[in-house]
Amino acid sequence: MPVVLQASDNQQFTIEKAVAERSMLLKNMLEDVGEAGEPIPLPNVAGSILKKVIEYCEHHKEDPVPSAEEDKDAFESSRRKADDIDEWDAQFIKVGNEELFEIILAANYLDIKPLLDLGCKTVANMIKGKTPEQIREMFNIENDFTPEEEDQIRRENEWAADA
Amino acid sequence: MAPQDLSSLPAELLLAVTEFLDAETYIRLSQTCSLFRYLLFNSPRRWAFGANPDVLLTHSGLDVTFTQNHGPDASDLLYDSVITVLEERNGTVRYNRVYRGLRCRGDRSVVGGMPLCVLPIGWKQRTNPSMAYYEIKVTSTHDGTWRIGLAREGYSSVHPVGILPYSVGYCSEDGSVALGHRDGERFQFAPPWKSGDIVGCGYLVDQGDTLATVFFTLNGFWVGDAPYVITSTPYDYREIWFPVVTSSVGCQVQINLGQEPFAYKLANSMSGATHLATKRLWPRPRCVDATSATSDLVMAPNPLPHPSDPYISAVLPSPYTLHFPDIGSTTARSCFSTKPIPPQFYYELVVLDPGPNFNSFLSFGLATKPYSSFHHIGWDAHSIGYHTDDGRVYHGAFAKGIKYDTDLELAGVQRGTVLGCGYDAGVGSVYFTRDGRFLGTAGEGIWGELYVAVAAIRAWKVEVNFGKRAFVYHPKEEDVGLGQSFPLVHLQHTPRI
Repeated sequence: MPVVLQASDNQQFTIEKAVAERSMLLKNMLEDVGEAGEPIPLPNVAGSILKKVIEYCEHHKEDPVPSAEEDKDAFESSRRKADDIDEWDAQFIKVGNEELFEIILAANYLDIKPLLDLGCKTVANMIKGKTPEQIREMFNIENDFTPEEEDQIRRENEWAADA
Repeated sequence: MAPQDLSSLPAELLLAVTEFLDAETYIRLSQTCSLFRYLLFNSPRRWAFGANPDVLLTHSGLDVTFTQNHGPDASDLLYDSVITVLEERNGTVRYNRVYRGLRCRGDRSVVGGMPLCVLPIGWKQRTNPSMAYYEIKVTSTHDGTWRIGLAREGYSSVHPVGILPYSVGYCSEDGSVALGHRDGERFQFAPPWKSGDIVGCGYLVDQGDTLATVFFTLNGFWVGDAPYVITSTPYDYREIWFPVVTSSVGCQVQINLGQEPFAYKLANSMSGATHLATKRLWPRPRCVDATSATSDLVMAPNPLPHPSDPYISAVLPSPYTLHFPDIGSTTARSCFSTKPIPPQFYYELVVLDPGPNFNSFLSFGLATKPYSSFHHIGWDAHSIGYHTDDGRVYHGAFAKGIKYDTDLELAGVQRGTVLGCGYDAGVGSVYFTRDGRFLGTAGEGIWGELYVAVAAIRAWKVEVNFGKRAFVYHPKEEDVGLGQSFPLVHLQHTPRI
């Protein structure tokens, strides 16, 4: 039984149920309302992004569903590693910043944990090894520190440079 | 609605990103704008002590509740492996069993979510640029054992801190310090502590160096440096040390990572430093006070956390008579002279009461200040002391005494035994004597502002003789030090904090 999704720009996508169930939001929704065959509206996701998300779900539809037990294990290794991205995922996530952020937002909204993690890991890897100035440039972050705060940060860095 | 910049992501997603960041990047990200600075330094998720099925965390993550669900077999002893090692001592070979990973079934440890790092990273009070520090306060109605310490990332949640390699812990039940790299071996260290006490743990970095000394505090009072030096550079977060707390029973632990002022004042700012490790921030002073005179010397006990039991200091009926308390505990109390010694110096101790034979000994020698109030002389850096239990000389080491007075075992230390210690600033040599006999040079190259130092416990009574009465030992020609004139090196004061 296929599932029809409708993006914010009214674009419609017809996908297999197994693919839709990668999203916890859709899985719960399908369990609650049954398979009515009506298009499910997703007003928070644009068509182009939804297409990307579906591509990811298609590729990963065979993956075992993470159970609650495994979630706990993942939490136990408290600080998580950002460098265990597989090849297909790495290619998939090679997108512009704007699209990357939208994928993260969509993954969060649709509750697709592995995709959310992938997006966060990618952002983390982009930041890694950069100076604050470089991070600002990369992500259009405005430097809004007061002079006092700037001074404090400079002292923090001076100490690090001394040693 | 397209998010152009990172800061337009919702806060919970930003924090999800930071879960994948190492500490260095985390701090750099916090330096980009005020939103990130606020978010990253106020994120309880990041600082929270983590993830253990037997532990509940409060909202802020800094009050840890150990749940009491270990059952009646909680005191079962478990271990990971056992190895047999050959140990030779005094000519006899013994087989020693070493249990690796020894623990009780009820022991639970929690590890901090962020390393203790020396960067003054915001967290309000943490302004001391060379020190990483935290404090805990246990509240429990049950009797239990607790430990506070440091460990590398990923420490086991069922092993007490100080059992596995790369960890060190201060134990509540006997005040010992447990060393992970010695498979949890415990050393007499400081007073025991209990629930209600504020216990602190931290490390202080040597300036221009990558080494740091671990120390502990009790109720805002520095009790001593652990015999544990860690590698820590501010920016090498592979060498990072996490706060770890262990409990054997259900209890609540309040953890202060700097969100409130510390009980230990030095951790709040560098002013008023009295910490032993601060000596290591500067090159060792080659200063000997040439103006000080033997006649000025009097003894005084080193200060204690607070005057009530069980923190009893030595009693001095006169400035030259030391009575050490008998309080059952084996943790020593140290006494120092109030002024530094002159460049050529000798003093003697007359034993008035050698205390009970078991588990009690006297140590004496010379040391720099400040010195732990609970350590035998010779254990802390820049101290040298003769120990009457094994006749060994300890020179800034907990466990590595040098074989020195080999006849002590036969002669023993009794009432009336006279022990002496001499110093010559020429080559910085220290020697000891027993009953008028020269025992040899114990160490050379020892300079600094040295004080007469004596430590013991359990009813030891000694009298200190700075020369008011005749010495039992008379220097002979062949003895090193006294009687020969070494050219004095240029001595001068080095400013100290």
